[in-house]
This record gives sequence, C-alpha cells and structure tokens, in this order.
Amino acid sequence: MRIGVYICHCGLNIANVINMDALHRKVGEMKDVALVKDIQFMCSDFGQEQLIEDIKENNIDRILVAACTPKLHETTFKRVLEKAGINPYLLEIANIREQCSWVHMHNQNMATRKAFDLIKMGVAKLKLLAPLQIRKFKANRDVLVIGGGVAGIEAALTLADAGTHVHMVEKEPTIGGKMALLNEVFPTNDCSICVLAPKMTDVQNHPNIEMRTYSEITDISGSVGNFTVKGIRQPRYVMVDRCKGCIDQCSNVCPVEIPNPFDSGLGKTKAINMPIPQAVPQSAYINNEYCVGCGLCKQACPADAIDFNLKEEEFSFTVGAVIVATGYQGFDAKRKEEYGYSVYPDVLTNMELERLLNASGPTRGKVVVPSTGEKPKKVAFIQCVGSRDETVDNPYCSRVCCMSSMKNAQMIKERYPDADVTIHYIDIRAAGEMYEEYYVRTQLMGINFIRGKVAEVQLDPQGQMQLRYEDTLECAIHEEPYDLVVLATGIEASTTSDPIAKMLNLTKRADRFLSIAHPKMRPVDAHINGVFIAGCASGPKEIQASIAQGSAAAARSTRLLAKGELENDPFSAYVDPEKCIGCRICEDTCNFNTIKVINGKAVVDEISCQTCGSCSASCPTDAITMPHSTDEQIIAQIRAALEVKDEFPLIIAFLCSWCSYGSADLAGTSRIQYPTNVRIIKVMCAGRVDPDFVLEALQRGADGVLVTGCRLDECHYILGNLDAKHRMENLKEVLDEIGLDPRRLRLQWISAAEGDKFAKTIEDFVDELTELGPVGSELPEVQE
Amino acid sequence: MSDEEQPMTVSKEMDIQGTHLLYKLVSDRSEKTLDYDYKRCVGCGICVRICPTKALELGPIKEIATGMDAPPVMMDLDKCTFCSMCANLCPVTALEMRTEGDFPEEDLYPFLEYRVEMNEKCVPCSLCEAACPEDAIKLEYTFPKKEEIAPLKENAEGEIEIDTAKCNLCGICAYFCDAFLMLEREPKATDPIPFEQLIVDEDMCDYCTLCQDICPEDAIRVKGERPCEPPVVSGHVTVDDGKCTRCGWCDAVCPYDAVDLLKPFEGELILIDEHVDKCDTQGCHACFNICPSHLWYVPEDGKNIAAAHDLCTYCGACVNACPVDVMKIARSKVNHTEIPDTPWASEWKDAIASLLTKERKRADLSRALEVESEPLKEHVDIAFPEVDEDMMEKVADRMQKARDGIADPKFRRILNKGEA
Repeated sequence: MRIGVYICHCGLNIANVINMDALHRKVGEMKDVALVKDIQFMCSDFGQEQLIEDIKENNIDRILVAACTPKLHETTFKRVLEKAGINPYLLEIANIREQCSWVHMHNQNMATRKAFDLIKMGVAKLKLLAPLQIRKFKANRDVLVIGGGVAGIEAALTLADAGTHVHMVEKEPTIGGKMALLNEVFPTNDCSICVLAPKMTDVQNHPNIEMRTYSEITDISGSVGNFTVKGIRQPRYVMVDRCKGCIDQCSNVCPVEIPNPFDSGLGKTKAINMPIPQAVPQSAYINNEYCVGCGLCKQACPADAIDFNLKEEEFSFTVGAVIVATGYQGFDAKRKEEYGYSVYPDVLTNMELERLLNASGPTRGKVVVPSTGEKPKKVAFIQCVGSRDETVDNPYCSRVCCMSSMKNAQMIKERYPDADVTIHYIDIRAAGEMYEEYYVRTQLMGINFIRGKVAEVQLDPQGQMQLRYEDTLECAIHEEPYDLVVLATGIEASTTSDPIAKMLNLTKRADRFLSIAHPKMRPVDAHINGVFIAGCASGPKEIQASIAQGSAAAARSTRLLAKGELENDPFSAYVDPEKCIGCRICEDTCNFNTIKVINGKAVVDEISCQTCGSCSASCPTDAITMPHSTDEQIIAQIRAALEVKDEFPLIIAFLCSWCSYGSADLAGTSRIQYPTNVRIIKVMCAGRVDPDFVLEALQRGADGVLVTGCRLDECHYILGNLDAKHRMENLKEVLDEIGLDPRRLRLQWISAAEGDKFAKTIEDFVDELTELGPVGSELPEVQE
Repeated sequence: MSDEEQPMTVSKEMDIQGTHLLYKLVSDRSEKTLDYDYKRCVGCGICVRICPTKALELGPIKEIATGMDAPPVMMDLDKCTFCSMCANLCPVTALEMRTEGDFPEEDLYPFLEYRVEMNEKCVPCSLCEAACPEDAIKLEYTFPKKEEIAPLKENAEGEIEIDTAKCNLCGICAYFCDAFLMLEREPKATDPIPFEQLIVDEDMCDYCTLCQDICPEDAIRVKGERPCEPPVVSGHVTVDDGKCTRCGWCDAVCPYDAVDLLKPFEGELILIDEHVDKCDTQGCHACFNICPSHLWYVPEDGKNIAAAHDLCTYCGACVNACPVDVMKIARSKVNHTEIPDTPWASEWKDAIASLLTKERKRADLSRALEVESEPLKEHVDIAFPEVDEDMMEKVADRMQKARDGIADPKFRRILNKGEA
C-alpha cells in the first residue's frame, strides 16, 4: 500500500495557523505513507497536475488530501484520481481548514497537533477503503417550478426555451406574483406589469410549459432525477378554456362585494372576479370564501363558462428537479404597534401605496389620504419597518425598501408636485447599478431625507397625525404633522413555503428563509441534490436579482439533467448473509422500507436504499455493511484519533454529513473560534452511529462523545436522527448502569445554518467534561 | 349579437300583497321573488343573523310583541343578494324564495330540517288536533258513526260506566256516538291536555256496547245488546307545515307515542334568575305573545315567570322581545340537510355555524376606498390655421421643378456625392 498525502496551504488560510514543516515531518514518519507534499493551492491546476504526476511516478495507490471541507473539492479530487487511473473512491479528505486552522487561530501548537490527528484519522480510514464503481441511473428531464412569480416565470421560460418540459404550480388564481401588483419598478421607473405581462403570457402559451394556477402541492417524494409530485387544483367554478375574460358581464351582476385581497382590502371586488386585469390565465374565478350562491353570474356569462359543479382536482407527475420560487410575504405592520397601522387609517404600507399608485388599483391611480379622500399634502415614509429590527426578530436588511420608497416618493412628487415628501431612514442602501444615481435624482426632486429611526406615530391634541422622531444628524427630537404615513414594510420568509420545505427536507436559516448549499458559492442550490431555490424564497432581493436567480436555477437544473442520466455513489447497505440471523430489527429500522427479510436473511433493495446507515447501527451481529463508511473504517478513525491522547478533555464527535457537518463548516468559514478538543468523524446520518462506536471511543480514552444530526423534524432521511436519539438515550442509561457518567455522551441537533450553535456546543461540552474529569475518574473503584 | 350576448341587466322591486311583502329581483332572463309573510314571522331574527350582507334588520320586536302591527324583520333591498339563506333557514317558513329561470337546483343548497309526522302508532284520536295551538293539525276519521250503523233504539235498557282511571280523553267515543261529550278546556303549557272530562248523556245511549269495543283503552263498560259488529277505528291526521311551528304540543298530549318530531334546533332555554325577578307579567306579556310554542306561564311557586322547556324550539324570539333579558337561548345543534360541495358551501356553512357561535364572518370592507371616477374632459374643437390655396399652388409648381431635377441621373450623382 502506497499512500500519498497532500497538505494544502490554502495560501495562508491554513499555513498561517498550522506549522506546515512540523506537520509535514510528522506525516512523513507514518507507516504506509510513501509520499508527503505540501502545496500552495491543492485545488489549482498545478496542484492537480502534481497529483497525477506523482501517482504515476511513485506508484501511489491511494490519496489523502488535507485541505478544506470535502463539500468543496471532494469531487474535484475524485476526478483527478480517475484521470490518474486509480479508483476515485480511494480518496480521503482531512478537513484541516474549516475544522482546524480557521477555528483555532489563536492556538497554533494545538492546531498543528490536531491537524496531525485529523490526517492520522484520514489515513486510518483510507487504508481500509475499497475501490467502488459509480452507479448510473436514468433521470427524468422534466422540471417542476413552484411559484409563478417573476423568479419562477424566468426559470420556467428559460428551461422551456431550452427544450425542457416544465410544470409550473402557482397557488394564486393568476401567475405574476408580487411584481404583477407593483406600479413602477426602480431604477428605470418602468411600468411593472407592462414589462412582466408579456412574460406571463409566454408562460401560458409556451408548448413546453404546463401551468397550473390556483393549485397547491401536497406531496413530493423521491429524490434527484425522480421526484414524484402530487397536488390539488382548487376549483375556479369557471372553465378557463371557455372564459373570455370579459369579467364585467359576470362581476357586474354579482351582488357580493368583497375586499380585494390583491389590494390588501383597499379596494372592493366581487365574489366572481379576476385578480388583476392582466391575469394569466385570463379567466374569472369564484371566490368560494364569499360566494352566496345567487346563481346570477351563470346566467350573465355569454360564454357559458360557469360551472358550479366543478370540484377540487388532484394531479400528479414526475420530474427530475425542482425549482422552489415561493417568494416572500410582507411584514405584518401591525406588529410595530408604535406606527399605528390599522389604528390610524392614514398609515399605509409601501405595497398599499403601490396599489394606490397603480392605474388598475383600487383608486385607479389616485393617491388619496384614506380618511379624507383628498390628495396628500404632506407624506412621510418610515424605513426599516420590520427590517433590521431585533425586536421583531428580523435583524436582516430587506434590500428593496430604500429603493422602493424613493421610487414611490418620486411618483408622488411627479403626480402632486406641491406635496411635501420626506423619507425617514436609518441608512439609505442604494447599492446596485444605477441606484446611487437614483438616490441623487430623488434628492434633486426635492424629496427630504431625515436620518433617524421614527419613535412613534401619534395624534397631536388637535387629532392630527404626527411623527415623533430624532434627527440624528441634528441631534434633535421633533414632532412633525403628516397627513399620510407610508411604512416601508420589510420582506419576510413566506409561511406558504413551509410545507414545501418540509416535503423536500430543505433547511431554513435563522432568518427563516430557505438556506442555500453555500452562502456564497452556490446561490441557487438547495442542500438537497436536484432542488434549486430562486428569488425571495432564499432571502430578500430585488427583481433583477430574482430574474437572475430564475435563470441561474434553470441553468443549474439543465446542467444536472441534460444527459438524462445521473451518477450515484454506490453506498447502498450490504447484508452479509453469513452473519445475518434474520432478527428483522433492520427491517423495522429502515425508514424507507428498503430492507426485507427473505428466507430468514435480510436483503437490501440497492436502488432505493438511501444509504443513511441506520440499519447498520441497529444490527446486533454487525451483518450490515455501509460501503465507504464501514464499521472497521470508523473504528480505525476512532483509534487513530485516540492513539495518543494529546489533550484533555478529548471529544470524539460524529457529525451527520448534511446539517451538522455543514454547521461545523459554517463555524469555520465564519471564523467562530472554539476549543481544539474535538476530533470529528463524518457519517451520513446521526442514525449511522453504532453504539459500539461510542463504547470504543470511551474505551480508548475519549472523555466525551458527541453525536449531532439535523434538527429533529428536518432529517434528510426522515427519521434517522430520531433513531439516533432513541439509541443514544438508551445507551446513556447503559453507561449510567455500568458506572460511567452518562453526560459523557451528548446529543445535539444543529442545522447547517447554525455555525455558532456548533461552536457553542463544543465549548459547553468541553466545560462540562473538564468538570467531570478524565473518563473513568467517576468509577467508584477509582475514587476509593 | 344575440340576446344572450347582451350584458344582463338586473333590477330590484318591492310589492305588498296583504300580509306578504314581495321582494323581486328581475333580470331580462330570470326572476326571483322573496315572499315574506310578516304575520307568519315570529321575530326570531335567525335570518338577520345569517344574512351575508346585513340586508335584514330586526324591527321593533318588543313593541310588536306587545301589540304593534309591523313586520318583525325589515329589508334593505339594495343589499339583498337573493341568496335564499333566510328562506332556507327560516324555522317557520315565513320567507319563501320562488325562482324562474336557469338557477342552480334547489338540492345544491342546505335547508333547515324539521318534521312533525304521525307514525304507524297513531290510532288516530282527537287529542293532538284539539291541543295544537296553531290549528295546524286536521284529523279526519274514516270509520262510520254509530248513527250510521246502529240508529238509536228508543227505551233500550242497560248500564254504562266509564273507568276514569283508564280513560285518556282521546275522544274517539265522542266522535262515534252523540251520547258522549268531551268537556273542553284551555290547554296549558304545564298541562296540555285539551279536555277536562268525558261525560255520558244516558238519554242518548241505547247500550249498544259498540263504544266498549272501539275504546282503545278499554275504559268503557256497557251492559246491553250489541246490534252489529263494531267498526274498526281509522282515519288520518295531517299537519299543515305552513302553520306548524314544531312546538311539540301534539307530542306532549299524544298517549301513543305516535308523533315523529324533529325540531329545527336543539339546545337549551335558560332563565336568568336575577332577571326573572325583574319580570313583570302583569304589565308585559311580550314573551307570551311572541313565543310560537306558547310555553311561558306564571308558576304557582311565587316566581314571576316559568317555561315549559320541552316545548321550546330554540328560535330565540323571546330573547328579542323581552325587555329585561329574562332568558337566553343556547343552541347546540342545527338540523339541516347536507351542504353540497359548491362554490357557496363555505358561506352557507358559516351561516349555519353562526346560529351556534353567534359569530358571522362577513366581508370586511372597512378599508375600501371610494374614489369618484374622473369626469371625461370636455372636448373643444380646435381652430385650424388658414391655408392660402394660391400660395400652395405656387409651392406645388416649384416642387415639380425640383422633382424633374432629381430624376436626372447627372444631377442625382452630384446630389449624392459632389458639390451642387
């Protein structure tokens, strides 16, 4: 066996903290290591070519790369190995950047020592790796786009133009999303619907797009390449193919007036209506929350399009990839009580003002002070309502409100030149092409800007509405009357995307938006293979960015599915019939019904096995092997980590490859410092952790064992983390029984977005173990 | 353009016919009439609560209950949608919707479900007919009277005796033979039996014994001579739904458990003790007058007022009429036909639910802004500038000259590239 070890400097990212010379020397002394090299950038072309050259020249047969997280370059190096003619699975990566140099910046000696441990652990596993063959399978090339807003529309059209069959599902009766409701859009002051409507029509007419409006998805199962999607279409009670969109005929006779949900109630519509004049499809629908059943619309319809007998319809189809473009919801301004929204009628939100400005809005484009019906004389915009505000748990910036307030201020000034318009801001954020110029133009139009957070909207003794605020540039407190106050309400994660996130196992950030695979490098990829996120579902962004993400998501899914074939790691569980005693525990454990006991022996359906390894951890006779994550490999890693106990306390941590490993990586990229006392072993799922691993670690001198997985209802294998929870909690009892302190085994559920939580977990565990003393110190015979 | 393609026009009108107020919705292709019989209306206000557009309003019920002649429910015709919720859910059919034209089938809407029917246990006898406070029950016996089958024999001898312990005052004998007389009395909520006593006029009796045979309770003992076979008691009882209020007096008096009674609502009538003290049954009889079940009475235990709870239909009219809030109604169930899956199901469900919860969801239009349409700008004809025709002819001459010039290739070459 000839192992090549490559230690990457990552410029100074690793080399600045870890003593590369010492590490190089130590690794060089290891058995079976035929070659050690440290290289400036392993991922560079030079680094890769060096690897190929060395393999050929020195007969290297397996490779360890000590560098950054495997999430970044594992595939890169696998490809290199293939090029060099060795099996790509004979590769191991020691993550000495995210898990070492970036998180132990102030403890260089220990960091170097830990890096050596990590390499030792990697080599130990590497020695036991077996060559495997990549599995290929056929992938469905259709794509599902969830949400018919501007991001979804762009994604669907891009895909459809490229020849991909697209299913679009929109919950509202029309596509167009929030953009269809806007009046003008910055920085060009284009008419929003004028630029969007042609795209909406294209979606409907495109032969490659199957559009379903007024529909919701109820279930998504399967995985990349083969998702099965189920949903229901709400009855419109109007036959779309017959309705001519002459909406007046039916809605004029409809006696039921309702608040128009698309105008947040500022306008009225009828129980039979069309959401907006440019609705796609151009079809009326009966709002079944309000219809009383008078029957007149059916008589009035010249196209005989109304059918009261229509019922909810189920639909189902399969796709290879899913683009989640579920958009956002506006911050509920009522939550900021100090601004009096819904108490004072003349306090509006920016979106409501948008509707008033809109020619097809409730006032046909007139801005009026609601209480008087007069045109406004003095208008105040209050920025950051529900954004950058810890009190409502929204610490983030909503990115569009500064620009949209400036745009609406311009619109008011254009239409009512005598109106006095003031924007109360904390900071103006006008970062974008032509945005700063827009800001200057707004100022030149005579719109006032006052810096400082508004304290309160209140009534003066005469009953006139006034703002109380501090002008932080003047350092003075003012009370100023206004007849119209506009709240620049922020963008919040849409609660309607919650069920979708659940079905697809997507994770959310602390700000409740859907998290993406890498916060910088993979802006539209979800953590789940084959799922992409575009637009405001992954965070506030302006229309330009949403469109760009729609295109990007389309490109990413095309890249994934273009060949119609996907590759899969051959990691399915394998049962050794010699060892299997047919006890059926695994059959019971598998959350995917993939194991069946046939003729007294367990058999795994390799195609549907999700490779979580929970069965393997449940097997009493160790008859189930997880290729590339065998018991022997993991035990070898444990032993390597504890061969020399180089610090106290020493923790062996098992991190699931989805969320928890991601959280450790995030702690690294965020440079959150935590104690060096942990040695991490990556497993597919917390459910893979065999009780035996814990016992082995403690026996070899680990003072504590940490098992982490995704948050409890977010497991990528449905219930794998719950399996781990049961197993480990019972194991704690066992530890207690045999006299060891059960606190030495700790369980924690951490999402990929919680780097700080991971660091805190290590800190707390180290503190606790320090107090407990070394493993075994609690045993009665030791204490005597 | 055919008729169907013309926009439909809809208008509303109102008409009065006796005690009926007729509200009409007329279009060029259909007509709906909401017929409100205000005398039949008990003022329960159920229609007011469920109306989706608040088109109905309760009138001066307290005054109406104490003698004023006015409709208990008033209509704002502008608001009415003619949805027929009020008609379908009126417990006393005071409202009725008639339609002409292509409207959805009736069975696509729920109806209040109630029923008073005589089952096979009905003998029949005369009790329910006599007890019904609404005169809604008609009894027709179909067996012959004694006179017809055995005319009175003069000077016959014998004995007749009524066992008052067994007699339930059903009145069959009195129908059959003129020798019997039912002594009537005013039925009371606490004792709804409409007869005081059965009396025999022995002058009219010839001791034929036939009454002994037809008495269902075996309560008559006769010594005498039977002239012929006795007839079998038969007949039918009909209930007029237009009059019946489902109060259940018939059920209360029926000795044979022969009344199938389903009230439109189930629930509880609750008397509020501290308010009962304020009740003035001398000065006010509002609840007595308005209650379709006639269940109120002044008890002998010294309390001001009491109710025969079993008779209540839980309509709530008394609650509307009482000036001192003596009672309240807690409905626990509305009996209605199934609500079919239609676009209006949710509204109807809410209407029915509101009869239990008292909360009716209505479209909130409080924030809606009304903006007057901009008047069209007045068109002013524009004055054109004067054109000098002579001058224009001269211009045309010159143009022709130039045109001739540019048609010459030599000149054209100069025009394009060279110097003119």
